Amino acid sequence: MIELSRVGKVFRNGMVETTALADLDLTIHAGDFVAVMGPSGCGKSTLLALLGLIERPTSGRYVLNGEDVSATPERIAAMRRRDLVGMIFQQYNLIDELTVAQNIELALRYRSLPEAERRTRVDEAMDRVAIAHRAKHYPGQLSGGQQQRAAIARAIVGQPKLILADEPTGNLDSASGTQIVDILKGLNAQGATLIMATHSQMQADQARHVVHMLDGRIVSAVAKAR
Amino acid sequence: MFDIHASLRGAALHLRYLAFTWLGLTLAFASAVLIGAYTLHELGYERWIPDVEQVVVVESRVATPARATERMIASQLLLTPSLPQPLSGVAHVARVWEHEADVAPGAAWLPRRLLFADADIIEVFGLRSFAGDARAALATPGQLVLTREVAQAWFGSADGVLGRRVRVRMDGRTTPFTIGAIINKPAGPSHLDFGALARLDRDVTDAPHVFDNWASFSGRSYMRLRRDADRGAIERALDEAAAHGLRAQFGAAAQVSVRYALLPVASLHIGGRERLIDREANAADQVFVYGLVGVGVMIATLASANYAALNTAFASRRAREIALLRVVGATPRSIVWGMFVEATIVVLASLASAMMLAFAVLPFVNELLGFELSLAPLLTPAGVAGLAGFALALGALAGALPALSLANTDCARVLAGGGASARLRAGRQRFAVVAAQYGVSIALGSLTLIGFLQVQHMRESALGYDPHGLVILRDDTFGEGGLLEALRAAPGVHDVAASSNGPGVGARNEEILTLGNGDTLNIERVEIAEDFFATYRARLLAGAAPAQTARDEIVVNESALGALGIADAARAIGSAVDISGEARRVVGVVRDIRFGSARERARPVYYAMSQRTMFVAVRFIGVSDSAALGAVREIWRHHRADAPIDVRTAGQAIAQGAAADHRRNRVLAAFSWVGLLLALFGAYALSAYAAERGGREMAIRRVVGADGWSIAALHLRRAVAPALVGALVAAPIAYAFSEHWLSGFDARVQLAPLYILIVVLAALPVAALASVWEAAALAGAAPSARLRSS
Repeated sequence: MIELSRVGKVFRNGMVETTALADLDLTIHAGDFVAVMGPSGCGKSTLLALLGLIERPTSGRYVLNGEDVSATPERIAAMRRRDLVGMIFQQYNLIDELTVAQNIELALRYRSLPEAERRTRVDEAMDRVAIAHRAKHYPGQLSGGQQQRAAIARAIVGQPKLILADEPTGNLDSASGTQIVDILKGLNAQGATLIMATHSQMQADQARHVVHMLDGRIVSAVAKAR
Repeated sequence: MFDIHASLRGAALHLRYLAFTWLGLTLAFASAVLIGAYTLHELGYERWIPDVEQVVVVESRVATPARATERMIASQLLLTPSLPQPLSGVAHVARVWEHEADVAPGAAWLPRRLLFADADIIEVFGLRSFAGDARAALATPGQLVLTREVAQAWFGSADGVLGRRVRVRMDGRTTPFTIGAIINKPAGPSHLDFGALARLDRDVTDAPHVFDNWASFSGRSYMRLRRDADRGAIERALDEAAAHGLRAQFGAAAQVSVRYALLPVASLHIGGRERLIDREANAADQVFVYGLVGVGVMIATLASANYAALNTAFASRRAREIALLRVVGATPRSIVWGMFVEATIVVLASLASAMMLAFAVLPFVNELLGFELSLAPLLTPAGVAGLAGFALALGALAGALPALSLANTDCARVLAGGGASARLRAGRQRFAVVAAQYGVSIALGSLTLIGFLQVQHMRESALGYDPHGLVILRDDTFGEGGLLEALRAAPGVHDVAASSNGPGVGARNEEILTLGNGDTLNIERVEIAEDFFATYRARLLAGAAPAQTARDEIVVNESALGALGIADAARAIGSAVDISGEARRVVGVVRDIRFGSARERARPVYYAMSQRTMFVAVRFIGVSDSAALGAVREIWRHHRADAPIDVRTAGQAIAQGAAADHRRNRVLAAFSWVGLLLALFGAYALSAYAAERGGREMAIRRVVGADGWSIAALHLRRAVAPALVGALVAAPIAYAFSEHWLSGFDARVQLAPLYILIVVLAALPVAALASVWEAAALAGAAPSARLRSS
């Protein structure tokens, strides 16, 4: 599903260069559940952004679903994001002006789907994360856990093969966090590849593989016995 | 403590917003200042007269059985001398009779309108002598009274001109006049031209019958009333004098009656009644003037609201900063005060630049619109205080109001990243303001377009004659020395005819027509010479032009026929009528001809032959206007070497007749551009703000699969939305206003929704254009950067 070969990412801001990722080699198979751990600033979010094609590597090679996407044009990247990837963020990143249902539908807006099918898929996604009762609410009217469930519904409504969750429970209380991880595990069990950045050892313990990062490098990759 | 320096530094960081805010406010305030100057000018007519509320003009209301009552700002020259003397409540009364003339203060002749008046005009209008005794001069035949400005223009100085000789040529006669006095006329606009006054004397005209005919409304009567005057009693005295005079002239069976009203002179211009005096339609349109005041207020309000909304939007962005200040100990009062001071500084700076802009463009505005506007009234202590008060009020609105809401926000929530609903509200406010700005510009643009079409319509149609290739020339000598023959022989000339009236020229001579059955109606007299109808290409509906020597034969127009209740033009031929006591016979019926403004209702007119008609019409075929004017000037030079030429094409005369409407159209056009520009500033600011605020949203959309084009298209759609909403609101308002304005014209274009749709369709791409830059920036932006920063 994912192959990274000597991938690097450098951010340039004027005269300042920051190396976010350096010489990453990583292979993730379809259906895997991978937890990415490491201290703040170690490059977890950058790695997920790169995997989700919202960042491009400045060096190395990234193969996604058999296609080299290291330098793919933005137009193609947008199509791959649309068809393959679902992203979940720590800050939820819902649009304040749209209702929960509209936020979820957003992921289908850029596909040629009839409105009836869009509506059906949105309803299904909301049911899967148990947020249907808040369909007409705005994000500002929801708790953090509810917002994150809406964000997960948006990520899965397009039936992506790859789900990238960037510290999805970072802003939540432990009960809500557990619920969210359970939902994500369920999605993985249904066949989606799940990569989750987290600080929580407890959550990481539930993954099949755990990747540890430090200063933009992978310091260990551990396959966990089940 | 709220740090104003830090706040201003913060504003400076957002230079683009600041520049657009400042530009928008400057433009709006400058527009409001100019509109204010225009309004003060229009409301200032006659306000220079001491105790102006005591000065009135006599309005005549002529009623005949056949027609509705006709109102005229004119009266018989016999009227006031027939009043009992002295008349209770009247301090001074003066008659005025205006006439075009040529004046030669030296060797050269100059065209000049002369005001023949009774000596009491000095007291009626509160004029003061600068040199000599103006009152005594106006009581003496052959003396001329000049204003200082005219004396300066004629002789280079107002000093030492008493006793200087001036030749005056009028109605073909040259008369010597002596300068008897110089007057000071206070600065200020007036419907009367006081430049050159002379004693009102029947000898000055070759139409003495206007002085002793109760059916001729050729002059105007002005009165200065005492404070305790019973105006109703004075009007009744006038009614009685006229009734007595009409009975004496027409006998007891006279079916015409005249009643009088005393109108304040200060109401003539702004009330639109000046149009009843001057065919060039200088009169102000009250609805237009007050409508423009509304536009000025709206432009200033919208720009202010724009600023307030922008500040509110900034304030919501600054919620974090304010929350932090609260955390470190700032009180709500200090925050409110700081933002108020900050906003007031921006408003004051914009006001200062607006005043500079207004001063800079004022000469161009005056040139463009033919005004003499001044900003002096705004620089009085009251004006300055008003502007300062406005700045403080706007500072409070734009600065303190958003601060009030911010100062009481939940710091912890804001610092934790909340406050989405406040951002949402600010976005809606900005949308509403920009929609309103588009609405104003679309409404003004629609009015401009319809006004333009109406002015074109007035020029091209509904005239009753063909203005193309027609040149109008004034000749006081009635064709002496073979002038007409020379014109006829000129290359390209098809016809030549003279008449007492022409496009935009000639006095209105009202008379009373009495039919055989005793019915009467007010009718205007136009004297014509041979070939008049052929030269003007005016269509005779029945009969023929009068014979050249037959003084009793007349042609009447369609309106006269309608007023008489005769449906078939042919039936009128041969009818015997009495006009002001003279027996006449109708030999022809002609279509209505409008020599004045197209606003005028077509009126009953009769055309009678005369040998003493001074406006010569020359019909050219296949010759350009400039060549035709050149040819006429050349012939004039040859035949009238010593006299100034007064010549124009019919097109120019019509344009002059529509000058006030044209001017209004220009004013509307100018402010529709200002409105549009402001809307663009607002739209750009909205777009930039939306782009910045919506950057996160667009990044999210990119994450879920949107490409650059769809992001750009979404941003453009949102930019056009306020223009659409503005159009929906403005279109019916513009339609209603246009309908009201057009209803003032007898000949008007038919209003079609298409005209407004054209303006709306033009505004939409402009709205999109204002957002193209931001749309392109959003389309090209990397979503990761935006999401990282959020």
